[in-house]
Amino acid sequence: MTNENHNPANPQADEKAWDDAVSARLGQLRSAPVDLSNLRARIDSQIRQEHPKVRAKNPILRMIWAHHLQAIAALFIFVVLAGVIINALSNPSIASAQEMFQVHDDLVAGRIPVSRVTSIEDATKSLVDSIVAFTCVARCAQGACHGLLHEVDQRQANGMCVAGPRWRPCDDDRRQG
Amino acid sequence: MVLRKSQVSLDSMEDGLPDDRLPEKTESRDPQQILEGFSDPQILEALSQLPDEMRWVLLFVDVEALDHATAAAVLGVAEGTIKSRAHRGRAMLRRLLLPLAQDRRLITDAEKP
Repeated sequence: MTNENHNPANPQADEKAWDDAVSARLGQLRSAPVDLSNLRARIDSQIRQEHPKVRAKNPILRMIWAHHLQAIAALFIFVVLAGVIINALSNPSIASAQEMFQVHDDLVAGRIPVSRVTSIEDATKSLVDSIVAFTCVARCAQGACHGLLHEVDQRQANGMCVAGPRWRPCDDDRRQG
Repeated sequence: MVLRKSQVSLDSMEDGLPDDRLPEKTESRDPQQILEGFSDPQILEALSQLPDEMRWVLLFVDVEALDHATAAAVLGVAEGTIKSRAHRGRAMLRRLLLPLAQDRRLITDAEKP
């Protein structure tokens, strides 16, 4: 492979020839094999130098420790959720008569905000929209509303629901569970 | 792009080139023939001695064959700057390589540009 511009007698042509030749020779590096065997180690060492917090003596130990942390976090969440569910299922299913009476009094006295609906279904939907909880809680609330309706029906209060901790899972749900 | 660390220093050229890469000693040799006498690691070693701005331009323009506009966009400089740096970088590379080629008698003083 020769360069036609090469002409030692003409400095400008020679300069161009050398420029082209160097460019062509550098272009041959494109197909040169690249050794990446030490690349990972060099990147890791560079990261450790710039971010001392991630420094660890053994990357395998670091990986195992990270996996253990994930397992511990998952176990903790599972235990908390199981505790909440067991606690909810072990409580009385609906409000007691005394609680219902208290709620009724509060409603009549205007101490509790009341939303008026025309049916049990609407009341349930309203409650579900507001509390966004488990299905069993919605059914439990429906049962509680049932009791309220029965009690205040004669006073033209067609439906009302109250969201709060007083509503607990129903007997039906506990049986199904 | 990652370039391998050069395994052969320029000084090691004193130890001789592989026989099949030695260009024939003629009175007037083509620049490409002379450059073919250098191995890839030797070219990379010379390239690594260039200033950063010129080395990156040569890597983009000559090695990676990017056009001047793309290289200018990547490096955040004007296209004319790319052309200028490429030209000066090649000249520097040539000045780095030629004395070694001369020491090895790959070229004569008369051939030296």
